[in-house]
Amino acid sequence: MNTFRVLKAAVTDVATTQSGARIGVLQLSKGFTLHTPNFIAPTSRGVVPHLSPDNLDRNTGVVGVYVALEDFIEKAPQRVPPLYTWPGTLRDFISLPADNFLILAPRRSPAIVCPKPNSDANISILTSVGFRDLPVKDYVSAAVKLRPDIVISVADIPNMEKPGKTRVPKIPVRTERWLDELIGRTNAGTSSKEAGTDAAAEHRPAVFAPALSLEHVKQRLYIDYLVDNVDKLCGLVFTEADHLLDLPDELQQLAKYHTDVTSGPHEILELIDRGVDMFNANFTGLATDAGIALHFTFGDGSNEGGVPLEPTDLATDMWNEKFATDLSPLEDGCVCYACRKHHKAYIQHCLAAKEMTAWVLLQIHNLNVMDRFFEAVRKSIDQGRWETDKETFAQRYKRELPEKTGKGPRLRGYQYKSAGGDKKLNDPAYRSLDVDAPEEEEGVPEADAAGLQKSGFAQVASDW
Amino acid sequence: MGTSGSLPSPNEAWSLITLSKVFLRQPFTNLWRHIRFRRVKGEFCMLKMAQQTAALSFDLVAKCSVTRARASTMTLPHGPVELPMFMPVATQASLKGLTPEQLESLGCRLCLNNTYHLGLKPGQATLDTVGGAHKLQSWNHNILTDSGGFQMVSLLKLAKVTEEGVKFLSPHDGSPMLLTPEHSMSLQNSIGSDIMMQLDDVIATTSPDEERIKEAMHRSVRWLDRCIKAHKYPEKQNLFCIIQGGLNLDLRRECVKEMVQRDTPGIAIGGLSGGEEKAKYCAVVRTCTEMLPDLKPRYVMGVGYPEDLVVSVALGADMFDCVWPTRTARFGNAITARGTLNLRHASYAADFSPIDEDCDCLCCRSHTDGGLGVTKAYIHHLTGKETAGAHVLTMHNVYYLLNLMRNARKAIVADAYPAFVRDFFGKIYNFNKAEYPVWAVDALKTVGIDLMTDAESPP
Repeated sequence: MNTFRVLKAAVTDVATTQSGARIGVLQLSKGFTLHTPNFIAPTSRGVVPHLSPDNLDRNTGVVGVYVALEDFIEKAPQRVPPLYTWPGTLRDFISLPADNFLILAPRRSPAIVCPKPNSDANISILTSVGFRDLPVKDYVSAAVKLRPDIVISVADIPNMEKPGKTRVPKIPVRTERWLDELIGRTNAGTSSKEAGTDAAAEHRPAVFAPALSLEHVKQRLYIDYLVDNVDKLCGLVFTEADHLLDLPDELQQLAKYHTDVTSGPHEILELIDRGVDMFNANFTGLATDAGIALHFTFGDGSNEGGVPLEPTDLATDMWNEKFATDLSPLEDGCVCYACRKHHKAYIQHCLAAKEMTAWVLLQIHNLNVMDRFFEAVRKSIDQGRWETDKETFAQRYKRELPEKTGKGPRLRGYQYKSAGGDKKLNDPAYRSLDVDAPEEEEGVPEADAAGLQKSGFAQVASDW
Repeated sequence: MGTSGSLPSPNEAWSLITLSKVFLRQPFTNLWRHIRFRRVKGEFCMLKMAQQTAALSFDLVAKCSVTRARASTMTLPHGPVELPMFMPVATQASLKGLTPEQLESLGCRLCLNNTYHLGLKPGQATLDTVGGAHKLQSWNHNILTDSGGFQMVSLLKLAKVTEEGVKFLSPHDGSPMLLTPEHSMSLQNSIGSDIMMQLDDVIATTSPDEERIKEAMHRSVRWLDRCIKAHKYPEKQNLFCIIQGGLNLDLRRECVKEMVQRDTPGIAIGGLSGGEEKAKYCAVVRTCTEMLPDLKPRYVMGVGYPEDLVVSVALGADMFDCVWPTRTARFGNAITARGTLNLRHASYAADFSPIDEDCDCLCCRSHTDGGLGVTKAYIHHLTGKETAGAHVLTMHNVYYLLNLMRNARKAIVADAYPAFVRDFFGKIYNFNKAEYPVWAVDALKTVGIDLMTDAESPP
């Protein structure tokens, strides 16, 4: 059985302040357990960016990963995607470590808005070779065949900021129909023979239903449907939390999963306060790509010395040359692999040299910071310190992450939507030797003659 | 001497040592380490099989009875390494996306850093403050650095070599710069590499200018002398000489004589792997190893194709390095016992077999065997799109070459290297002898292996 249970709600001192913060436990039929609030690592093409499966397994505390079907179905239906001919499960296809569970969603997190609107039977997706349609029935079939641990039902998200009068009513109708199709198929089991048996129940993924960003009145029927089928659901998934607390009590007992990008830990704490249980660690990945090392701690009782006059930084930009000889770890006291074995000087060097290892180590560290952060949040709620700890954190840390200064790793087309007239995402890797060198080029000294002489690499010659 | 049993009796051993002590006037303990007993035609012979210098001890473990292949153990300041071996290239103090922990888990105990790149980033001052390259990359095993001269010539358009050193125009502001043997030594001392290479005068082996090749050879010898003189820490870092002389075997012989006289702890054969014909490459390696002392490691620079390694080992070489396995991994090419596979090709999109069926690396082993169970299809899915795919394939490719040399060593110790070579070529070419490369067949013939027949034939 896939179940989510709320273990404890946060205690508030004043009856008037309402906190939705709570700790819970998500138990999946295949034996995975996720203590909430917690984070999920989003993947790109099945990998947590920068991490080979052994690094994910050995050096992070990641429990669950979010995988998008759109990353695997490039040229369908003209060409059958290899994944569909694969005899095994999706988790085996991507060599997912045995300790991690897999959440299947139709689209990446965050998803690129597609130019073509959804239809009654299809949603628009972006694969690495371009925009195309994904028939919802294909997604449902894939969800049954690929045996994810959690499957997210398809939401009809309009591709415009403010959907018009005729568009809005379609949203709950389609979302309900698609959810109904998914519930029907997942409960039917993979084959008719298995239906209704224990084996079918064991393979059955937990279903997370979309919670729509609409006022209650505009989605009344959809909400009624959710309430009627609440026993077949395990969680709710959403990108905006605005209407979350309006939902009826029956639905409040489901795991609530926020899949959009958050700006950082402050926003996460606010969302936890509104009852969110699970988050995609998107900002973590953005920080890693920017060469930024996170270092914030929640609720360690360090407010004893009073709140500092100046809020502390949440993170540090490791591109800064002042770290070139700094042999201290990314964060003092951190026990992650990157901090135990390496130092700021190495990470700064790898960033400056554009060596991929820089982002590997930063990703390992940043995910460990998230792991620790959520563990502290759960402990704080459990021990009744939530309100104070949250308040202390809000005062102690700056709200924004540091500005990005350095370049990230090479960008991929499927990660960004071009808006026409854009500059190239990446600098060219090669150039003709007869063209003047750009400012920075691998293997060519950036320093001028005096700099080279100072570095001891060579001396200025008197003649040529 | 005893002829029965596998070891001489304690009395026999003792008397040998006593004798040697008297005649060779060497201290007892030191000598004991340097003596091995070897059975030749049923008789025990005492062989000097080891040699020690300040920062390197070289222990010849076994020699192939047919080819010139050798198995040895070289102990460096950061621990012992087993030869023959392949050394992966961590150009800028990192092996292309792998963590030092991952590199270590592949069994690598000696990797390369490039002096040129580390000299530019992070630079000598930073290296001095940090305490060298081992500290910088948290690598507690051995490091070998090149001299920096090769990149000077190959990466920069305008470089010219004078007796003083390599002259180049700073690409930044165009002012003339000079890289001398002294600069190279000073930088490599700051890096703290366990093996450092002399600055040599590198020119393409394919150069038609015989005079220039000759000049470069002699200059490399003179620069070795300057390097030896400028080397600050001979007690903790090993300086290797580099034999030059292009494809001219007489020049190579002359160079070997000069270089061997300088008695460096190890010897490299340089200037190869620059697009010359394979047959000529083999002739140069064979000519050099013929004259080189037994008890020093021999390093052929810039070689990394599996076939080149297997043939070069037969010709008597011990150490190799190349960026090819790691670079080609980033392009989606997998090195396997059945040749190199381009996994970007559409035919692998739905190929759910491991990268290499015969490989027991972490990536190729199945989940049930404690591996990652990576398939060709998954690498195809990731190549060029997610770097983690390159990391996985890099691990596999490096493991393949490290393991190829480990297996070669086992074969040499078991005195079964010729069979290893036959099996190796057989697998790549599906035992279709018509497809075996002519250069490899010819080169192996000179050291007693005839791939075309099934029996060993002494040269």
